[in-house]
Amino acid sequence: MILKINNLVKKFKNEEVIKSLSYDFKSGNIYGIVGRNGSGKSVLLKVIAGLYKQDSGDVLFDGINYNDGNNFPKNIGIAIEEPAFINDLTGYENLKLLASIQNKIGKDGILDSLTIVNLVNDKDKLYKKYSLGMKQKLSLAQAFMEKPNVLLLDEPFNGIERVSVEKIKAYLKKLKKQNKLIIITTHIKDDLVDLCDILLEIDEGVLKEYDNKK
Amino acid sequence: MKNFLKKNYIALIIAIVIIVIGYIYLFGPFKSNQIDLKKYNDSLTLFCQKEENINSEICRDFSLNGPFKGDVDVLYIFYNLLTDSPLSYLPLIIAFIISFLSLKEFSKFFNSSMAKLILIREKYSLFLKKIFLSSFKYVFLFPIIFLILYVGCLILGNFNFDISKYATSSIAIFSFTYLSLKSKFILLFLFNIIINSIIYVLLALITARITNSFYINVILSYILYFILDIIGEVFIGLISIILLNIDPHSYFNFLDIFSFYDIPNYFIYLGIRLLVIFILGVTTYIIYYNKEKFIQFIERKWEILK
Ligand SMILES: Nc1ncnc2c1ncn2[C@@H]1O[C@H](COP(=O)(O)OP(=O)(O)OP(=O)(O)O)[C@@H](O)[C@H]1O
Ligand SMILES: [Mg+2]
Repeated sequence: MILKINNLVKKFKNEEVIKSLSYDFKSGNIYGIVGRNGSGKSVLLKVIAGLYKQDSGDVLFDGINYNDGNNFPKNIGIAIEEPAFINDLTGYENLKLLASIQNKIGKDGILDSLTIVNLVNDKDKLYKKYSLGMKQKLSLAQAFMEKPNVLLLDEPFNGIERVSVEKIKAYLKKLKKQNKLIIITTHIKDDLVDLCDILLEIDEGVLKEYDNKK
Repeated sequence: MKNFLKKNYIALIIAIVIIVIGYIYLFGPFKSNQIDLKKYNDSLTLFCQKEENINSEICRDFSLNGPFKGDVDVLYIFYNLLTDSPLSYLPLIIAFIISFLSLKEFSKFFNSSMAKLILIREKYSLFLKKIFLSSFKYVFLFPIIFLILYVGCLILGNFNFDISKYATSSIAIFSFTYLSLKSKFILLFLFNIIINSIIYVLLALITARITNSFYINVILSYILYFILDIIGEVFIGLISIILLNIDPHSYFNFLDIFSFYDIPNYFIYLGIRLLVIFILGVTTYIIYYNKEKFIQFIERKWEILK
């Protein structure tokens, strides 16, 4: 599978956050996108996920454009920006609510996903009682649970303890072998060096190969 | 069943409270009043049996029209229930209850990032459809409540819609157009509640996009609804009085949905409401149709509210 981005432009009012960005992401790889705060990492992922609409250019999944202001990319998992689930539901109930939309997985699928992020023991706690790291773990479990072909993860390891980070990284490497496409952003490059096959940098609204000399 | 109770318990509690209050009134204070009427008839019969009273005005009337009956017509009972019982305060809170319930249905998706996670799993149009359907179901809440209360009135009134004998009671209240509908009146009444409830739900959907706080939006929707009332009654009302020399006041009374039977022409009343529904519907569409604007709205941080 190829995710082709073609001359993508995204503006807010007059501010051009993404300027004619082009890149081909190929499945079977883990991409890391590094960029300082406000460089447009989250915006890029939101446009790819069809949550924001580009001003011009294309986002094509194997040639198909889903970003028409209504549709959504099929088979995608996202964890973008700080998670905020429904406070008065437990972690498990939140995932169940989302899983019920497409009905691809049942209880086992949800529990598997919670196990990967080491959250299974806290699954019946109310979301509002979750710690920051637990919230982040739930967000990742949500992205993983339906076994999507494309994963967009925005600063995925924020607040998560080391053991769990290693476990999640191992899982992502396993997904890569299953020919999934994974795109991870961060502003701390060191988080990604041991994980990513290709390291990119977003700066001034364009994407380029990461320059190791910097 | 268990799921249904869990999802709708607030609406159910509200319905049960209103219905219980209504039935207590009907079979308590109202019925005992009717029994007093029977006592009155009995004493009147005794009174008029006496030779010296036969030619009094009251006894002539009595022999001409027959006794006042204890069981008055159904509509008279229904009217008393709406205006004389504690339920007469309902018009003030029906809009509030409907706004509250429908906002509650979807505000949990609005003040979390849940909507974003839903929108990578289903189309935006489907998401909106679900939200709209779940709030519009409350359009039927009050019609169901009033239908159940109406059954009590039917029982208490022995299914009697004959108003001729009780002209003194009912005709003073309803205009003849409505009274002549007899048993079909309730259909108009329920239809009217549905029409007005649609306005309340649309107002709730619009206010849901003002802030991310459920409670503030409930209050705002209630304020909006007063504003609508004031615009209608004061501005348009005043202009019509000055320019056209007619008083359309009751046509614009969005506050008291019971009072529609005061108005001379229901079709004008209905027309005004359909126009308002159309305007609010278009507004709702404009506010919601843009997926990105919607997502930016839920992403906004509302620090003051937290
Ligand atoms: N909804 C929005 N409306 C207006 N401007 C926005 C919006 N979202 C993002 N921006 C602007 O776009 C730019 C890029 O934002 P983005 O959130 O993508 O940065 P980022 O690279 O993810 O930063 P961080 O590392 O802090 O997460 C910023 O200047 C931001 O102000
Ligand atoms: Mg970001």
